[in-house]
Amino acid sequence: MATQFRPTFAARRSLLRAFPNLRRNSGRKPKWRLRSPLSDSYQCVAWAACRTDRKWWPVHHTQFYWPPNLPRITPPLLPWIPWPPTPVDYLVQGFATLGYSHCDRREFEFGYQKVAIYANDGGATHMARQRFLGNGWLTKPGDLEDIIHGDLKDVEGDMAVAAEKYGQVAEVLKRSWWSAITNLCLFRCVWHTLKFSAWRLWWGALRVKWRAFP
Amino acid sequence: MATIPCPHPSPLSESQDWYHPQTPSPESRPVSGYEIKKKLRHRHVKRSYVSKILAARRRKLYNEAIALLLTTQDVIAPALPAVDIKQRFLEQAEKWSRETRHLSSPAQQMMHPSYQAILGMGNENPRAIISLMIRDMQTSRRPWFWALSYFAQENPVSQSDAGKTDKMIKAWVDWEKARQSS
Repeated sequence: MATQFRPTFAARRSLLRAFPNLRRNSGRKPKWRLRSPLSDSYQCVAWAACRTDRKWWPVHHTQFYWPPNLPRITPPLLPWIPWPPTPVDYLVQGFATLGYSHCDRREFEFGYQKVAIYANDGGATHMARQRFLGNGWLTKPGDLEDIIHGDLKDVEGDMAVAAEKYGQVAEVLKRSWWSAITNLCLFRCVWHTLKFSAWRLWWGALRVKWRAFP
Repeated sequence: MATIPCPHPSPLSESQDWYHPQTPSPESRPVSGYEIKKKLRHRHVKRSYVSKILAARRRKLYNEAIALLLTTQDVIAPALPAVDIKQRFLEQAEKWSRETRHLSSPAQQMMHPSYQAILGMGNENPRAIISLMIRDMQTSRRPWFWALSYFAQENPVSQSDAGKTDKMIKAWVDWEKARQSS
């Protein structure tokens, strides 16, 4: 099953273990929250592109989708040879097809939607998308649950490749709201928000707390 | 006046019988604090002596057992359980998915030691590992697509289904069925 529900405390525990910075600003009221159930149908790059039907990554292999006629990394012929690092520029070129361009500021700007690319010493690792009205960033960490977090630093980590963290923000891209509407991103975002809200209500009906941290 | 003995004697021993309390004899009872301490010390010394002897005996047995294990290889071999490839695969796969579940980059996922260990198993016995991976994809949906395409030397997933987990799993399951039927 592509979608899997698990108890809130289990989801939060695994996310906090992966991203200790989320705990940093978590006082009495945490500044991050779960947004969706567990899903392996999409990951961070697909979610930054407002897609939930397939996984995106610039690789010459059918395990991941990438817009055609764009540069991608080639996996090694022998499996024990390390994979080449994914250049941040490949992700920038891929998102340029969706209307994004380079941006110097990571703060919210009215009329613009932003995405951030994370990278460590081994190349690009992750992407996060800013919410339409700027109140938080949306992250889909691998196959775990979507989260909304207040700051880009919340999911940052060690720069070493062996640390298995996301590194730091290397690039911020932005596009206009009009471009987001023409690329159907706004429609998809509203649809997913409604879908996830319905799931949350269903969990509420089952008397399982979704937001509260035990 | 003669006392008549009780026909139902008390089941309690004399020391527990509250009705006829037995006063300890003056020679067995310690009379001073010093004597009490001396008795306790003596008991402590006795206990520590016994424990020392037991520990020495245990140490000697351990040393003999280790010497036996080191000198004869045949003793070690049956002691270790025979772990089959399926069990090793499932252990490593579980560890891999647990530790890389939050990662999106394939380079980070596939350089994990557990993934490399599974690839090593596949070099020993590729047919068994292909079957195990496809069965594992059906049950746990772990993404073995790149490793499968390396071991099978082909890729049944079409370009239009790239990145769609359900369709990729279905393509590999169909490929396995076709391979078994042929």
